[in-house]
Amino acid sequence: MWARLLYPIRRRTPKLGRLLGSWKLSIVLMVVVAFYYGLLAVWAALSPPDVVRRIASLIPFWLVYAALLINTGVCLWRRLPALQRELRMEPTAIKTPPAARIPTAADLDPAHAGDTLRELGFKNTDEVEDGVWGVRQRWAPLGTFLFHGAFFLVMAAVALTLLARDEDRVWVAVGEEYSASPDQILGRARPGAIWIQQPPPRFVVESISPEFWGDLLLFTRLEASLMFPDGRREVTRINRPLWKGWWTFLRLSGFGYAPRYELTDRQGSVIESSFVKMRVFPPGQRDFFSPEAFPHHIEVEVLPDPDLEDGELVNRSFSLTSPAVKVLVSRGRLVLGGDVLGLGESFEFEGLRLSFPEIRYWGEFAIVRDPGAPVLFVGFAIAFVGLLLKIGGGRSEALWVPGAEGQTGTIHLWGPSAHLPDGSEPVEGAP
Amino acid sequence: MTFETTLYHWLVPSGLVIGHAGVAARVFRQARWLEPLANSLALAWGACLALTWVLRYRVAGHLPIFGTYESALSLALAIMVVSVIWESRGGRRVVFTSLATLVAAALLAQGRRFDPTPYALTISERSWVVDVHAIVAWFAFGVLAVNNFAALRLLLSHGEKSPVLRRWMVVSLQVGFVLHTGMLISGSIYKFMLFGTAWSFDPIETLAIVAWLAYGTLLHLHLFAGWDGRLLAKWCLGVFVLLIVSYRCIVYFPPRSSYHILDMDRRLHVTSDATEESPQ
Repeated sequence: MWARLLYPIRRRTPKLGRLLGSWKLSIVLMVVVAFYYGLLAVWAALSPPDVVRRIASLIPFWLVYAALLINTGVCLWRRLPALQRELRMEPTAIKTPPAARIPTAADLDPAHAGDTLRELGFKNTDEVEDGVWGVRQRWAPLGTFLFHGAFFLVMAAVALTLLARDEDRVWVAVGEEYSASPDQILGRARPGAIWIQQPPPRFVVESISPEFWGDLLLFTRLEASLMFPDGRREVTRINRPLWKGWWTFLRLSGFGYAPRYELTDRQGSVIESSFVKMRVFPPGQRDFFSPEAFPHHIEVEVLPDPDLEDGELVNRSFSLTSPAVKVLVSRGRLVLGGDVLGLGESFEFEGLRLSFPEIRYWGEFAIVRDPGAPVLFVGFAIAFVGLLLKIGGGRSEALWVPGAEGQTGTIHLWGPSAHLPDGSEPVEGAP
Repeated sequence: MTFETTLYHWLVPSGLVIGHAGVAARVFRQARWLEPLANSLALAWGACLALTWVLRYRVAGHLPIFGTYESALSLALAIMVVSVIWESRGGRRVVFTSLATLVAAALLAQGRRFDPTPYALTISERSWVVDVHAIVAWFAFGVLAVNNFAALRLLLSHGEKSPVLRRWMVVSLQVGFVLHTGMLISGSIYKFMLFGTAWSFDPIETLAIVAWLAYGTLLHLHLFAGWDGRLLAKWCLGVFVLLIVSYRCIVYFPPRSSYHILDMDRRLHVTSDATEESPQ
């Protein structure tokens, strides 16, 4: 019964295999993907990036990727026996008609014919029954396999990323240790299907160094020096992630000011003091905090490099040279007043004195766990190595055949016409 | 106007004149004296272009990659360098170099329309990976431009059997494809370093993939369907248009749509609103 059921499938398998492994299907699929991506570019001009990303994840895209992979897989499978043959150090093409010929001198002997073949770029020359044989670009067929095979790694990486990538955005001030406490977490993006729980990397932020291009809001330098529990110091930048484990990457992704406030009573005793990480960068942005033991609402704006211009307070640059803090204190709906405070200056309200003795930087760090990333990089490396193996063209073979007594000999050439040696004469009707 | 911007400015009309003269010398073969003259002028023009590039490098303090003005200069130089190197192997300089001069001058004409102010590289572009990505991209464009010149020459040489041109067209197609792939890979790696994700469907990526697929399709058709000669040449010309769109038209997209718009005057509108998301 099984045999009867399987018969129609088996009968169609060769046809199906030919269809799925045909180069014509490859062409159609590549054109379809190019068309889809062309549409994506048009959409990118008309819609926000997140809309484009959503369009790019629609089913038609996945269907065509799957079809391309199947097509590539079947092609590679069907080519496997030929690859095994071509990688061997023996003639494979000489039974077929040659693509070109080069006449040689009548008195050329086999030893010198080998030299001539080597001069033409053919290596591993060997005396065979008919003459002298040589091969060029022997590893090129392997390059084709590596390049196309790398697509599977790339798609596996994409799948792993979609299933298991997660990202934490955390903020840590200079001098603070990151311990993954809830108040240090700014946001989390968890994967849909798999979550590989890993202990968070621990580190202390030793310093954050920003530099700006003139008075423009353009960073020319932004790096953080981190100290890890094993005593190692490492520097991360926005474009230099630290590789912490197989698929964990840690990088600096943002920056801000963390002023330390101090609340004292009239006698000068400190009642409360703490750093508050605030979203007050770039200057002009306001944020607020509430002291732990008091019901006040304190609105803050940091001026990193203030100056007076025509009686107006302006900011000259983004560097914390002599910072000032603009505060506005309220309790409930009652506004208690405000002032611009230099470091160490205080503002008094309801029996309390508010001052800001120092301002530090805080850094926003992205901790990305992406099992697909290393797989993707390996895929890229393999694909590129494959292309490099192919860059000189496909496998070519040459066979020098001596002429009859007193006649010129001939070098017969097989291989891609674009890579045949200079001076070769194409054979009429050659493939 | 500095000396470098003045030189940039004058390279456009002079390049167009020299390029046209070279092509005319080839088309009207009676004017034999024009060929070596146009060839020498094209080489001198290329030397001036290289000087402008060096001056820009010194003024900006980094590889000229920042914005349409600088990238046009670098691409123009890459086209000239690749064309001269390629032709020096064939010994018939005049047409490739003349065509290269024309295309390079057209690129500079586009670049001249954008802000020439030299800016320091922001942190997002300060990496050797960016330098590698840019250099590979320039040479990919240069080699594929040579592919386009070979295709054009092949189409213009009516009935003339030109195995060298056919070979150059195929070899430049293959080398250009490898370099274009290298450009995509290095860009993707840098994207991961900068944003934690290797792909984001930025229009620069989608357009580059379209060109990559188009060149890949041509290579498959050459290998399996035997496309060669004039048929392949016509399609190479068509696909080169896609390549130009992918390299030169990103700047016409809305600034928010792509991170690859490196013109400061356009980019500042984006950064001033979105500084918290990611420092530039």
